[in-house]
Amino acid sequence: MPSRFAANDPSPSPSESSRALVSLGSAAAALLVWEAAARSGVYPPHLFPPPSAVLRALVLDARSGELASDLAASGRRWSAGLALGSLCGAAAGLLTGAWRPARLAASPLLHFLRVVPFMMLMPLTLLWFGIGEESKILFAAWGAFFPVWLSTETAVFSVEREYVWAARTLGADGLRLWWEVYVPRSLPGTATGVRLAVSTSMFALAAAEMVGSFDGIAYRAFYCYQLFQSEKMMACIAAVGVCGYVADRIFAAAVRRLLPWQEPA
Amino acid sequence: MKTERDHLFLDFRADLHAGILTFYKTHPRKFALAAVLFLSVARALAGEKIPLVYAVPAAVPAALPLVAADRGFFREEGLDVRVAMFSSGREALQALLAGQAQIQSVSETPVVHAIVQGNAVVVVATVARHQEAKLILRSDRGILKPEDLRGKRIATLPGTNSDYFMYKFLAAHGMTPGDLKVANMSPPEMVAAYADGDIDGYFAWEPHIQFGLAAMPQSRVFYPGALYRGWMTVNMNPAYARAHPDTVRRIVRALIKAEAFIKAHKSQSLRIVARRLRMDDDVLRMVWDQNQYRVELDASLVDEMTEIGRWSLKLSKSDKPLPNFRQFIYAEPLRRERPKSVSL
Repeated sequence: MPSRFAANDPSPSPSESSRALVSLGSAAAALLVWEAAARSGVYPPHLFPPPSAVLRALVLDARSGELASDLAASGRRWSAGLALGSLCGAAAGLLTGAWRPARLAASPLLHFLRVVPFMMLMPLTLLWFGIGEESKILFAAWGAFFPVWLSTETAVFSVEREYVWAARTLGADGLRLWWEVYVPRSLPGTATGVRLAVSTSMFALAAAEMVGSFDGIAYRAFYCYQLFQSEKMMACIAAVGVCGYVADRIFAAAVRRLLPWQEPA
Repeated sequence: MKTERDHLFLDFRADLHAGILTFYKTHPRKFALAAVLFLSVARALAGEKIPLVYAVPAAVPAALPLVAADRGFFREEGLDVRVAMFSSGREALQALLAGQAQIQSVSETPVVHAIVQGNAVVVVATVARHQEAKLILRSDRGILKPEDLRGKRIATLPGTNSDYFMYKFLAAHGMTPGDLKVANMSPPEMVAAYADGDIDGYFAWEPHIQFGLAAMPQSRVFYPGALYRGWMTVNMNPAYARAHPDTVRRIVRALIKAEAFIKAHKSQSLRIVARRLRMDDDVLRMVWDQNQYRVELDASLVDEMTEIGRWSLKLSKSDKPLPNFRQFIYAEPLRRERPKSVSL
C-alpha cells in the first residue's frame, strides 16, 4: 500500500492548522501519559513529579522573577557564544572546504577536538579561563563551532564545479571567487550547521553553568538538584526546552526568509 | 571414548534424576520442604553473606565504615559489603534514594533536605561528630574579618553542610548570601579557582580547606566553633531497614567494632583511611582529631536537624510543614546493641 506521505502522493498535503493540531495532540497525549505515570505511584512523586507539579513550580519561579533573571543570564551567554562560534565555524569551514592545504593542516586536529565531550573539558576551561562570563561564552562558542564548521565544509565540497569554472572564466579569482561563489552556494549548508548549533551551544553552556556559576538556568537546575527540588529542576529543564524550541523556530523562519531558494535541512 | 567409570557415573546420575522426579510426583509437599532445607543448609555451609552496597563520601568523618570494610568487620557479621565511593555525600545519598545502595553515609544537612522534599530515608546511627565545614579567605586581598566578605566572590556547594555553615556564619555577622557573589562549585574546583584568584574564598570541608591553604599560604581559615557542629550519619531506606532489623543490627555491630579499632589503633586506622581516600598521610593527620569517631544517636541530632529543616524550607520557599525529624530516626537496632549510645 503506497504511503500517504510519499513524495509523489497526489493527495493534498495537510493544512497548517491540521499539522498544528497533530503536534499539539501528541504533546498533550505525552503530558497525559506522564501525569498518569507519575500519579500511579510506581515511582515516588518527589523523584518523578507530574507535569502539573512542574507547571506549578514554573509559575512560582516566574512570579518570583528568578526564572526571568536566570533565563536572561543564560540567553546573553548563549547568543554571544552562538554568534562567535558560528562565525568562526563558518570561516573555518570555508577555509578547510575550499583550500586544500588548510584542510590537510587543520581537519585532523578539528576532528580530534570535535569528539571530546564538553564535560571533560570543563575543569580545563576553569583553570585556563576562570569562572567569569568569558569562559561560559567561550564554552557555548565551542559547542556552536563544530556543527557549523562541518556543515560549511561539506557544503563547500558540494559546490558545483561548473559554477567555479564559469566564475573563473568570467575573471573571478581569489577573494572574489570566494565571495561570489563559495559563500552564497555554501550558505544553506552553513544555515543547517547554525540550526544544529542552536542546540549544541546550549548543551555546552549548560555544562559551563553547572560549575562555577553565579546565575543561569542550568545553574538553577543544578542548585535545585542539590536541594532535592525535583519539580523546580524539571521546571528549569522545561524552560530550556521551550526556549530552545522557540529559538529553533525563529531561526528556521529567518532562514526561509533570507535564503528563499533553499530550505534548511 | 567413555570408560567404565564414566558409564557408572552416568547411570548414577540417571537414577538420581529419576528418584528426585518420583519423589516430587509422589510427595510434592515433602519435596518442597526438603528443597528449602537443602538450600538453607547449602547456603549456611557455603557461608553465604548478605550482599549490600554502602555508598560512602570521600570524607574523613566517614572513617568508621571505611575501617569496618577494610578490617573485615562487616564480613565477620555475615555481611558482604561493597563500598562505593562518591565525591560528595549528596551523590552518595542519591545512590541510596535511587535504590543503588542499601546503606549510605553523609552529613546530616543533605539528609534534612531530602526529608523536607519528601524522600524516604531513615537515620540508623551517626558515626562521627565533626566540625569539618570551614571558610577559607584570601587575606592577601585584604579580607581579614567576616565583614570584609561583602561583595566578594565566594564559592559553596549548595545543599551541603558547608553551605549550611555559610548561612549560619553570614547570619552571625549580619549578612545574607545576597551580600556576596556566591558561586556553585565542587570542592576540587574551588581549590583550583581559589589558587587562580577567581574566587576570594570558599566554604567547604576537609581536606579541601587544607588543599586551599597549601595552594595559598596567605589565607585565613574560619572554624565553625559554636555556630555549627555536624554529624556523619548512616542512612537506609526505611522500608528496607524495618523489614531487615537483623541486617541493621549487624551493620551497627560492625561499625561499633570499627570504633573500638580506631580507638586502639590510631596510626593503623589513619593509614587505612588515607589509602581508601587516596589522601596524603600528613594532611589526614592534621584533620583527623577534628572529628570524634563514635557510633551513637544523640538527642541534639534531632534539634540540629530541625533547625536545618527550617532553613531548608526557607531556602526552597516551600509552604510544606516542618517534618518531625524524630520520626526519621530508627534507633531500635543501636539501642539493642549498645543502649548507652542512644539518648533520644
